[in-house]
Amino acid sequence: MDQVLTEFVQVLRRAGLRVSSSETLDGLLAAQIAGIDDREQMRAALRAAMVKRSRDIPTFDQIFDHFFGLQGEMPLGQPMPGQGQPGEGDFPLDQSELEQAIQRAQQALDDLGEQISDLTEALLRGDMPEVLSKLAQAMQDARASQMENFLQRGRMTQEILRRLDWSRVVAEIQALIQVLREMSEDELADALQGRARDVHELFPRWVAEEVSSGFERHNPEWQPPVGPALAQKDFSEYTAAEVEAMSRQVDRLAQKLRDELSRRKRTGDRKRLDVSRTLRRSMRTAGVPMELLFREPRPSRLRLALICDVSSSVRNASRFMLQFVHSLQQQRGRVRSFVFIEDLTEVTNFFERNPLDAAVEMALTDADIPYWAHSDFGRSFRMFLNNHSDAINSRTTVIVLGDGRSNFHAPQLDALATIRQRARRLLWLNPESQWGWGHGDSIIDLYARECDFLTECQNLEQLTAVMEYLTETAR
Amino acid sequence: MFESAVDVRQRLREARYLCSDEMATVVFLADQMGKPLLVEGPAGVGKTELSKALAEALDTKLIRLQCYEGLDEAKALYEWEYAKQMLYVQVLRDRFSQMLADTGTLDEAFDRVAQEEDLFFSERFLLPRPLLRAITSDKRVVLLIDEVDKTDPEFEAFLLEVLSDFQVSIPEVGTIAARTQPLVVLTSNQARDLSDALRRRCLHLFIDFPTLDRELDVVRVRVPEVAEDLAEQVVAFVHEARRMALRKQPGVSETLDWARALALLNVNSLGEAEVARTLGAIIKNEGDADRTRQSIPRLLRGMDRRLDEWKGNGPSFNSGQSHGPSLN
Repeated sequence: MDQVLTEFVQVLRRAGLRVSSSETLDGLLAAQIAGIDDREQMRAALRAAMVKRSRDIPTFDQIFDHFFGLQGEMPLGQPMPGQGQPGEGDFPLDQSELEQAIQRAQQALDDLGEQISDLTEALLRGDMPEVLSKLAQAMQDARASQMENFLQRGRMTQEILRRLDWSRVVAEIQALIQVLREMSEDELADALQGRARDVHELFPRWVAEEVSSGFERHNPEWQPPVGPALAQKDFSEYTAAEVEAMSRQVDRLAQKLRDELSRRKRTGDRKRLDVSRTLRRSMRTAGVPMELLFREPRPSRLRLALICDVSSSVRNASRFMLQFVHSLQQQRGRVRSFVFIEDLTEVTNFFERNPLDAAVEMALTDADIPYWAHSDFGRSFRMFLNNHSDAINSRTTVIVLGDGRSNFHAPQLDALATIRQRARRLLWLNPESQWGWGHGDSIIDLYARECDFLTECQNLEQLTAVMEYLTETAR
Repeated sequence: MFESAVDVRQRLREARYLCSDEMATVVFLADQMGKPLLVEGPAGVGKTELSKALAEALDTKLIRLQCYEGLDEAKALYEWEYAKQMLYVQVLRDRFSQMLADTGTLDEAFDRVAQEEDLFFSERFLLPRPLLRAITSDKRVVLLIDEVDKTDPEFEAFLLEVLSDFQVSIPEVGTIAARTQPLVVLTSNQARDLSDALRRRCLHLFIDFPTLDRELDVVRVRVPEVAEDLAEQVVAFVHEARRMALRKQPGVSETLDWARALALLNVNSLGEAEVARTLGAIIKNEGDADRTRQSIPRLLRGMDRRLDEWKGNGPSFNSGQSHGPSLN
């Protein structure tokens, strides 16, 4: 049992689950107590002891099914949606029959002086650890882990299949079935044929899965395809899959920053004695102040007005900005959000009525402005001032997100200057690389004079830095 | 102590808590291995209820520590009862004067008082809070640490220390070791990611929304006054509603509330009017309520479809469910 479990844990770890050695021991103990006769009890026991995050449960279940496969069940690949469990139904084969089939066929081949490859044998037998180690080797050889783009996974899958000599495996399985038929062992041949169908069908998909998850594993948290590379990647170059992955990353970062803030609030050494409460409390103890009471630190409230350009060139930057700020501000503070292209409108209520993801999406596509227009910063600032000046007061931080490419419209600097005057400060984040500033229709240099702070905000790293700055300077 | 997973299931059922095979197994393990049980899952699936039922099933007390932001050791573990100490000093003032009467110097007086210091910092003046109460109890109790994700990371670290040794050291008194090791249940709504260290120490149980069968069972057991037909409709409707992208999905507790409310109102069957009138029982968020109200006819159709399907398969009580929690 120990041996089996250790191997099982190896597979779990390879799939990105973090199982510590103490948890492995717990798992062993738990399985012993729960009993290993009942598969579902054992599953529950191992899972409770070794998988502590609910998002890992599906992975665990898959691997458990593969590893402690039911008899005759193909211990490979996950069942695809809309498809029954492989090995069920059409060809009820049992393991011993399969073993027999493989052995007979192998003998026959041996007599002919031919050998089948280890991989073929492992696949047919369902020898999971063996298959995995072969696959891991091939992935390493193919440098699958250095794949930079999630979209390369199709090509990478082909490459790995080539390295595993997949076409040979296919041919060998055919040969085995052929040999069995020639010996008129039709029953065994059918059994093998069934298994072969599964292998054909599932193995390539399974390799593709592995390649994808191998890619995912490169992110520090072993989560979807976001690597350190992505944190430095230009927002505008994101693919749809990356946007999705990034959203999750942004949520986590915001969460981290929130934790950090709450910790700092608590451990802050600026504890101030609350004299009146201390004296009042001392009445209980005959006027002796036994207990010192401190003032609750005033929660720092960040009042923000976000003005985001949502034209297609900078849309992704706006997306993450909105998401970051709103997930950061879940409990405290007040954010008002505005989007503009040619016209400007408020989208704050989207965030009040909808889940975060949906709200961000709505702000980017569903607000009451013409989305086909060209950015006009000056006009938008003017509209902000005319219609929404109640959004700013001397405690508000205004953040403008845009590339300052105003399509040769009037800059209306005075509008921006007025906004700055009324606000506590005005920050401008530019998702365009600094190299392009001031060239073509970029008038960011003009606007820069009216900002307290202008910075490039091209990727997640920079966005995080800005957010940290913001929360640190909140008051 | 429970004897087996089956025993857990049975005794919890007697305490009117229905659990899946998986839950029973994990609870049994936590009990046997003496490990804390970390229960996660959406709000209202019966995480807190589980510990109450456990206490009842084990015929013991439930000691509950409700966590919140800013909870500290003084509120969780122990506090010195200053007021009581003060009171004693006041009452015994004459005795103190007598005792110190023959001391010549101030130094001597200090020493004399110091000798009696232990009197003041003894268990007599110790105000035990839930954690201390749980480990000093003569009978093994169920300790519920509710919504542990609401605490600060520092408190989590402190909790870790208590939960691994089941002993507490109080500087003035010394180390107090657990007389009995409580069955610890921690619940979390995943508002904050708990530390890996805490997770490692616990057995993990994820409770998801129950299947139609199990939820119906729960309704039957907890709200026996509701008619079978209505119970089926209520559960199926809630299952449909959970498929909507709501901010707060209705939990089992909401299902129960709703069933109770409908039974009180003598409703026999769910129609648009009935649902609209009582929607507040399951949907607690204004935005959600608006959206749900608009889709009541669709939800009712979905409910009927779901019930037809379910009846087609025949009501299969407690069967095929050992796979642990599954969605819907």
